[in-house]
Amino acid sequence: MELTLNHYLILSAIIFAIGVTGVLTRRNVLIILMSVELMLNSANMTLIAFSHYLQNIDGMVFVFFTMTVAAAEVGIGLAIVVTMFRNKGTIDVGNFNLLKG
Amino acid sequence: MFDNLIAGMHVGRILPEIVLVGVVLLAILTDVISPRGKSTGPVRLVSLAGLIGVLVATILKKDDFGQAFGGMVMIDGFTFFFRVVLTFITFIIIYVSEKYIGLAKIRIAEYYLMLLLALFGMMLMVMANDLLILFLGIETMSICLYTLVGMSRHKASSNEGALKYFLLGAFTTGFFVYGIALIYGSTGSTNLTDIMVYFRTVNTAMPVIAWAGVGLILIAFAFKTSLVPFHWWSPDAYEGAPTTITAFMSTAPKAAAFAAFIRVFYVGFGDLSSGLEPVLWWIAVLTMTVGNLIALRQDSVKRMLAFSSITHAGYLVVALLTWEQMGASAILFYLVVYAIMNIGAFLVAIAVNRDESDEKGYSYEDYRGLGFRKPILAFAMMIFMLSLTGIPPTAGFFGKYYIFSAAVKSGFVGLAVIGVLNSAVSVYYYLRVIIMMYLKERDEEKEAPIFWAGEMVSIMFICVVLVIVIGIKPDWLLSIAQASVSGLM
Repeated sequence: MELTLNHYLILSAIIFAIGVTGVLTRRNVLIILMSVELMLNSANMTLIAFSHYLQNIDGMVFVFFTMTVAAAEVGIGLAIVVTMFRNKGTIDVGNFNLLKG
Repeated sequence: MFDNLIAGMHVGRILPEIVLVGVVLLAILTDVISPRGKSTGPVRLVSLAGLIGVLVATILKKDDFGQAFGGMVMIDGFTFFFRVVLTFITFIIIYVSEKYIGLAKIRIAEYYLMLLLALFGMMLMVMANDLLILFLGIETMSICLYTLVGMSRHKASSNEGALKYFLLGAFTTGFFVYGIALIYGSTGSTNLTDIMVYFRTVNTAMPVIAWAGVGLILIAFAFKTSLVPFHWWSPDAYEGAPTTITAFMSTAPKAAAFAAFIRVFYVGFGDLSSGLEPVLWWIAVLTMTVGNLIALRQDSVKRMLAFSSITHAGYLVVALLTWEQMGASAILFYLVVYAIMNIGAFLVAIAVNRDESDEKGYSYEDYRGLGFRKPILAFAMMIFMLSLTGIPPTAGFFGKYYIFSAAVKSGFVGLAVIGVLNSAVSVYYYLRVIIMMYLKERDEEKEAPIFWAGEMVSIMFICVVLVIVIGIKPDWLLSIAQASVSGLM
């Protein structure tokens, strides 16, 4: 069987859905961060698949930028998690209830 | 050959941004060579001088409009307007902060550096003509804002606000990139002009995949401008952040996000307006109403202002929905007016607040009898509250008037009625502050000293004057806003 564009799109849609589910259901900040990475990487895969299919290089260039930004974001995120852990001793989002509507 | 290539890029058109990056580098250098622990004063001066430089560069380039970098960015009247507004807001926040960050125990140079870098991200957002640049701008801004919200490292509420903001922001990034990927796949480009051309020609048979992309990008914008049902991060982030940062976040990034929102949806997706209308209609109604209803129940003025900023975003969506020049200029007008009155209100809140190290604070009780204790301060707060409510003769009245008249003229009478009713509801929580100040007895035992700083007083004074001046004579600002959006459509 030959791999077509649709296979890549369906796979990345599934990975994206797994990422979204992970963010919404998990309580541990690190796992949420990993789920966000899944979402970003599924988007990257879509970009590359389209880029190859359209024979247009823009999509691949975009992926480089996404990867850089994702790295920066995780850097900031882990810094916030560390300060949070120092103050509260936990990284479970269920315990963060100081601020409420 | 290379000469031609560089001339075709029109590097000169982004001179303000180049100056800004230079200022950031200079400020970092100042921080390094200053004596340890004493760098905020010099860094602040460098930043302020640099921002004046950015303004000068913007004004120098005000006739050099057009695309640059092969269509990646678009410099027009719209960009010019937001460059000036955003630079001014950042200038004001940096100007008033020095004494407050000592009080909040965050006296480090990074505070100023992050504000400057956030400004750079916002500048990219307002000139982006390509989804790639827009993405980079949004991320540059957001990453700086996460840090700024979490600046008070020893306060649990600040950590918590930063974490929630960060997690939801990162989640949004996922939606945004995936949306861009789908748009890219169906249109073959990330350039807004190309996307517009594509949608104009094949509008009748739009593939599902393109609609999914548009929907995901809409969700991402709804997060960034805190529209219901994607608003949950904003009250927490606003309350946890140091108050000067709250004032900043509710004005400048919101203005930049709406600017990008306008450009993407008016230019890029302009031909899809009929399909997007019902969605945006519901978002507008929900955003106005939900923000209001929750603001009613708040006991903290800071949190009330946070929820009311959601409501104000709802009014802006009403104007966005008109899909016309009039609506866009009403948004620009309102963003400026909102920035003025909101910064003023937050400055009063800083002055009145009892104890900065308190996790909660900013209670309505602190305003008890303020009208007799500090008449001038109370008068300023009264003006800001009346303006936020939209009572003439203040600037807020005309902001709302232009938005709702634009909505009525485009046939959204029902939406305008809901908007006006919501304004009426908001009277309750804004006037509650005024009632506390003027109709309640003083309780001298519980009174906390007022926190004064000369810079804050002068900015507060300017804000009061501007609110009244624009409230009496709004035409000049409106005509500037109209001229700025004229090139957009």
